[in-house]
Amino acid sequence: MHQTSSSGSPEALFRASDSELMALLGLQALPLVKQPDEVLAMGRSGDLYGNPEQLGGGEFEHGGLAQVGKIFLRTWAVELQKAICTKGTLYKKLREKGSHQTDVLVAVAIGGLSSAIPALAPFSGLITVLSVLLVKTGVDAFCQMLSDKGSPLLK
Amino acid sequence: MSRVFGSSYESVMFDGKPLEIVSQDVPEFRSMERQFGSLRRVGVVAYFPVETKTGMATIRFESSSTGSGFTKSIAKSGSLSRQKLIDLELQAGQPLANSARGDLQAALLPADRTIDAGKTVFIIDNAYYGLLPEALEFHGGAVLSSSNLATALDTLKFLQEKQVKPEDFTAFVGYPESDEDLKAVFKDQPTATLDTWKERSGEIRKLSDEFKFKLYGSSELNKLPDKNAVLHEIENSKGIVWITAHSSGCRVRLSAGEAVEISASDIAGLHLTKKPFVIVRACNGNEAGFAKAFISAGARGVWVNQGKIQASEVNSQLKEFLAASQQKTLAQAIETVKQSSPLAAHATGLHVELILPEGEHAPNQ
Repeated sequence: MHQTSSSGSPEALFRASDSELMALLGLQALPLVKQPDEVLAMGRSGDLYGNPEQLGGGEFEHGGLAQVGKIFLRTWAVELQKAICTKGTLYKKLREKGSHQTDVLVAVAIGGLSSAIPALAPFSGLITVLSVLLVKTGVDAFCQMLSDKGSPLLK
Repeated sequence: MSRVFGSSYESVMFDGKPLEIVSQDVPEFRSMERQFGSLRRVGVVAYFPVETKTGMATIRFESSSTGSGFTKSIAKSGSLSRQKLIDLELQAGQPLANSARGDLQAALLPADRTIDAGKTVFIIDNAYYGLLPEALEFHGGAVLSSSNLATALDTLKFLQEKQVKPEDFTAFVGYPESDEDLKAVFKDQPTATLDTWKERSGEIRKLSDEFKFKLYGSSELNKLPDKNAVLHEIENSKGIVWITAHSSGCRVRLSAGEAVEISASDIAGLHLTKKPFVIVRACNGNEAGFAKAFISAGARGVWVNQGKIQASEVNSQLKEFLAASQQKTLAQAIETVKQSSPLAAHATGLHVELILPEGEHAPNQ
């Protein structure tokens, strides 16, 4: 039986940069998009070591995990589009609430994604990060990003 | 520059009704009234976010052909706090942060954005909120904290029409190139490894060879005798690329082995007689006050990044800018970079002609 956990503090995630969120998403999605032997290969080639080369410090910077996050979004794009972008219940709820109540929107997204994509429901951390990313980006821009195969945001 | 809580407020009038704004914003408000009153030209708009007792309000100025016929109005007034504004602005610089940009625009700007179509729009960031026109989706706009609006307009025109060739730039780059540099720059908390920094530094050196601009990398800076020698080189540049690897300033190791830090206040004290165009890329470059420091030292314009940025992204933006500068004007070259880099599109902005009000000092001073 799966044990659910709390979604933590989405507010803190909301203050994270795009690259931090993408790296977090990659970390949460690693078991979904990489086989154990691939993770082993990543580890051996140094892809799991962070190499924060930003000017100044204090940020969780991890190019390898951010890439995994982008792979997750590309791999699960169809399911995510079906859940979010088909102008169904979740889409309407996210649009209805407006962009001002981010905490409410994140809660709506967590509930909506968990029920719309049961395969992801056990991964509560992943759903939380994904929901923050969705709310931060805005539902229409998020859907546009998923549908644009050449999006620079997913390269 | 921080403000002290419990600031005093003064009334300014709009159509006979008073608006209580924080006293520190009043001199700039009066200055803008004078500027717009004497600017006989249509199509110039400035948005000036001010603090009121209940939250932020935005004052909108628009010029007229008669000068005295200019309009000033309260474009927006709400309960947004100063801190929330700073938070939103920081988030708004991220390419994916459409919701933060939407919130920021809803909090500061009028609902009808068509009133600014085709006009030159300036943002007045009197209190160092870190506001950039890009976050408010004013493309081609600039940040202004100026006591000379006409000069600022000329500067914007200059940037739109003039070219600065890559070879006219001098680059000051604070990437570490040795173990000693790494320690001098980051003390005991290096971010990336030395190999990574050397790789990034090598990329800049390659760009210097390709585009023929003068480079002061770590090796060249190490040969200079003291901090004044570095500052002297900056003062004599026609165009400047300023890249620091550390947030608070550019830490460099000089020939005597001494590590010095060149901060925004050092820059503000310079006399840039050649009125250079400056590209600043630093951790929190806009927020740390480098743009305003260069402008107050005499730079014609500064293109600055906001928030954190990776060295590889800096190099990529620089390469694209230099390549475009061979054929295009400064403004066009910037636009070229923005079109290929989502981070440049949302987290960089142009500052023009800051002349600090009398008695005020540059940030960090």
